[in-house]
Amino acid sequence: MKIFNRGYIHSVETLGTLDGPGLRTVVFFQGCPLRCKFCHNVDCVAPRGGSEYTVDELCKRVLKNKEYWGVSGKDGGVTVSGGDPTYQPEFLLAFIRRLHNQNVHIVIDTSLMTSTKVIESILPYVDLWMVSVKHMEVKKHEYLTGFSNKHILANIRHLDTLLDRKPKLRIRYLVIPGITDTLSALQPFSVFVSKLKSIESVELLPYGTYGVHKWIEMYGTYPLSKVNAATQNHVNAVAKELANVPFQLRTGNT
Amino acid sequence: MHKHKLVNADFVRGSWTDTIDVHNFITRNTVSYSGDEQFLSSATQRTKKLWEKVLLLMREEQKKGILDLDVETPSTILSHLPGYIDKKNEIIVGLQTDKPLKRAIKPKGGIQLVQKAAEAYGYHIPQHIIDTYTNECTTHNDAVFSAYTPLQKLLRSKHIITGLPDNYGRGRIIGDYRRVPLYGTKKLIEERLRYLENDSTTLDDDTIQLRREVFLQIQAFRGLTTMANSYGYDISVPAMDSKEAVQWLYFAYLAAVKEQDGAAMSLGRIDAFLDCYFERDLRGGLYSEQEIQEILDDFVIKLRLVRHLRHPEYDALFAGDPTWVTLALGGSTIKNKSLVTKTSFRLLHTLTTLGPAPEPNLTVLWSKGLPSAWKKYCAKQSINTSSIQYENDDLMREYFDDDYAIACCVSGMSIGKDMQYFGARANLAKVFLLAINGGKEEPHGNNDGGDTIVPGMKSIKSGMYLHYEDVWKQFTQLLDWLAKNYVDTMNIIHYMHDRYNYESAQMALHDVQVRRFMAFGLAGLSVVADSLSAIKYARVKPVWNRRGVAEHFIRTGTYPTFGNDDDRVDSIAIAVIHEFMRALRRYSTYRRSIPTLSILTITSNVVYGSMTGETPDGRSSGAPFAPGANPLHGRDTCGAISALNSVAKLPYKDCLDGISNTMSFVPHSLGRTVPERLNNLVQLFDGYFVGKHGHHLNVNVMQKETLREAQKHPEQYPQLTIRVSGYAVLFNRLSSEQQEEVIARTFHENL
Repeated sequence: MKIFNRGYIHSVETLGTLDGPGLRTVVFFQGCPLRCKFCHNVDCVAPRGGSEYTVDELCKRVLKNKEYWGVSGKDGGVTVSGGDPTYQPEFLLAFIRRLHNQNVHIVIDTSLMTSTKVIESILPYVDLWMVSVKHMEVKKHEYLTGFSNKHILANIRHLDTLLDRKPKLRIRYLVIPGITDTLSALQPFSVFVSKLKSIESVELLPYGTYGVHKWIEMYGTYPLSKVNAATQNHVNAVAKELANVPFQLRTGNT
Repeated sequence: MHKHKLVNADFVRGSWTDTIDVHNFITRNTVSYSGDEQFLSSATQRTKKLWEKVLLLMREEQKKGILDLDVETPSTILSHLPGYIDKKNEIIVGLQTDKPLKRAIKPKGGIQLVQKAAEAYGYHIPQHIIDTYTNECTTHNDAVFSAYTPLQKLLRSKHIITGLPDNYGRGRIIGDYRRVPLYGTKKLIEERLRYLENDSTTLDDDTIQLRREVFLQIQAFRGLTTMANSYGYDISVPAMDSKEAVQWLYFAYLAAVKEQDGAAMSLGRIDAFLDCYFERDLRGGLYSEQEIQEILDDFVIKLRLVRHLRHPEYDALFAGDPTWVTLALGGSTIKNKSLVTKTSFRLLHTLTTLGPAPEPNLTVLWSKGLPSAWKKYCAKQSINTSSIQYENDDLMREYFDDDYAIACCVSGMSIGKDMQYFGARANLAKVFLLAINGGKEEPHGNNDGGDTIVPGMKSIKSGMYLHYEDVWKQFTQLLDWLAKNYVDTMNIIHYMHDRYNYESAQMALHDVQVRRFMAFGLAGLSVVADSLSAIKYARVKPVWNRRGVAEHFIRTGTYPTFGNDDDRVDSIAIAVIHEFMRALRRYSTYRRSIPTLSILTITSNVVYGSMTGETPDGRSSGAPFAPGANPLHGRDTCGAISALNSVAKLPYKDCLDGISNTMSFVPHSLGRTVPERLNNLVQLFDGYFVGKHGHHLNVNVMQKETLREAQKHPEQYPQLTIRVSGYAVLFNRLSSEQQEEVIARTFHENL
């Protein structure tokens, strides 16, 4: 048996409603190349841990929920998240290829801190790419994630080209008060996304502190402890700044 | 006679014209509605004013416990003079007594309990009434206890079979209240008289009993006719228009709740039926949409005023003064025609016109093909009010045809054709501990346990660890023992209830020959399943106390728990149910009733838990069970869908009296925006009911913080309603222990 036939899965959430359209089963992959200070799944970062699954086992597990994905099966499906699912590229590919061939709608939640080869390999099996842009300024990005954003932004542009104007790319942006909602952050972000051609929507997410307890459990400390959670007002203010972006802007306003 | 013909002439004719057949009337005349809720009218000023008045009375009632009690007049159909809230502003009239929220005594169930209940609220029953019901009339309660065996009394006092209707009315009988508006009482009496005039039957015990009952039913019809007369209506003839149809129907129900204070006095299913009148009168210009809504609002106000006198122990089991005026809505026919009508919307809309409330217990019958606008409207009202429960129409139609309703929480019955003998529930976790302890009571609370409940059983002590096969074998033997004693107990209870506290008004609105169910129940399913799983997949070492019973269990290793869609343990839960049901079917039941089983606790999961010692799954002594068929709190760790899937695996054919499941969601967990939440909730129902064949789902959508706030400032949340196992309750009417249990329960929140 080849090694990629086993994946490390942190957990499976069966009532996923926030990570893609409809009701989704969200599979949290173990392992992430970034070291985000605001990470809300810090327990998924390590490359090993969680439970080991074969592709068969994991498919069987998520397909138990297919009756909840709407009559067409397209009002929901499976979201691969993490961690970053591209951190286990062979297992990811085998898993979503199998599901996609059974008409399961696949969403990937990723930072695109991966190789173009990986992107190209999974491209046929992804129905919606949810790619989070952490920060447009190189220094700030390094401060927040430990890495420069150059490679990520290049990957997004590359993916955008590969998608060939099919609206399959959702750019997610985390509103962190005082950090990502400044004009110097938002203006380049606006310029960047406006140039993309395959956008489904731009989704603004409020930064929350619900992952803090995991940091405290694992490290006894939380790096962004001085930053407050974003409110809907923070999100709305960012939405106002991005009003000129020529795409649907998801703000979570009800 | 002239009027009668006129009414019949307006509707499409069928077999209903000649025989008593409401089902046929509905099939012939119902117009399904597939549109949305835009047509609905808001509450009129009159309705708002009247409801305000009622709210003030309810507020006072909550302060005092009960608003008023008539200790002098045992309640019957005719016992009380007409009562009004505000006579000139009421559209639908009739109260149980002469004043709103004034309760009555119904001592035929048991005089001691009436006394106890009255005294709990500072009232005293006059001596002459006590004497009459002690010396001259046999009450149901006295009759049952005169026949109970010592073992039956022991099982009762040891809380193994609990909540039995041997000291309160059994309820769970649904009269076909629609027959009164459709036919008038004259025709219904004539049909009964024809039965009595028939000489040709053999007069065996069964026939004699039935003839006596039919006679009592005729008397009830006469009483009902007279009662309606006292309000100025002649219901001996069919209802002429929409308002009369509602009024006639309500009188029939009112007679039932004047005669009986059964645990659940459910209303049945009226949406398609009434809709035939409403749509006809709207077309004819007799009433406007606003007037129709006003009639229904007024009717629902009356249903919210139904009260019974309960003693405090009863309240501990069934908290919040529930009456279970369960009202089934929607569903479809066996030919998959939707029975959703505008009136289904109008009735759900009362949660808006009058605000959320536990009663009537609105129960949506979910079916694959129902219009999506209706499904979305249900989801919307659920998200806004947490006052609706859902049940699987496609599943139940197979057993009850398409004109069925729900009694209490989850008990399906064909209307006017089925009745049930209600049997509360056995504490299965306690029976499981008896298996481990060789038939001896387990330690719990201040009780060291060790009393022999089942003589002659061998102890399971062999080696350090519990062996799955040994425990399972001993447990299934005990299930058989339990089944025998449970059936015997039910036979006594219902033999006596039929004779000493007969529901003549409700049974008058059934066919003369009915199908009878005997509804058994169990509590603590997830505790038992997890305990067996722990023994099978981990290692469980009991710690025996000085009386030789297990007071503690030490576990090593991990084991799968119920609620995670894991067949290793879910199959154990299924096997437990199957074994118990198989055992119940072995014993002969009173009046050849068909044994059924429910997995339902109401709020009694708290009390049952407090009476039960530590269990091998790690649940500590005295801790609550999960409600109904739910996974134990915190043990479902894969999200709500997995928890739903586990419960949906429990086989309905072995639990024909219902499988209750209660879910609480924070709004955010259903989606970011309101339209997303509506779609997702509809999809969740479709997945659970249509996809997975789950039976029942209570849905709460609220923030935990709201409940905490309501605990602190109850006066600011007078109508905060929450679904518990099988019914809804005003949060403020739960005991603080029950409130804590509700808050501690898994709230599904994904992040």
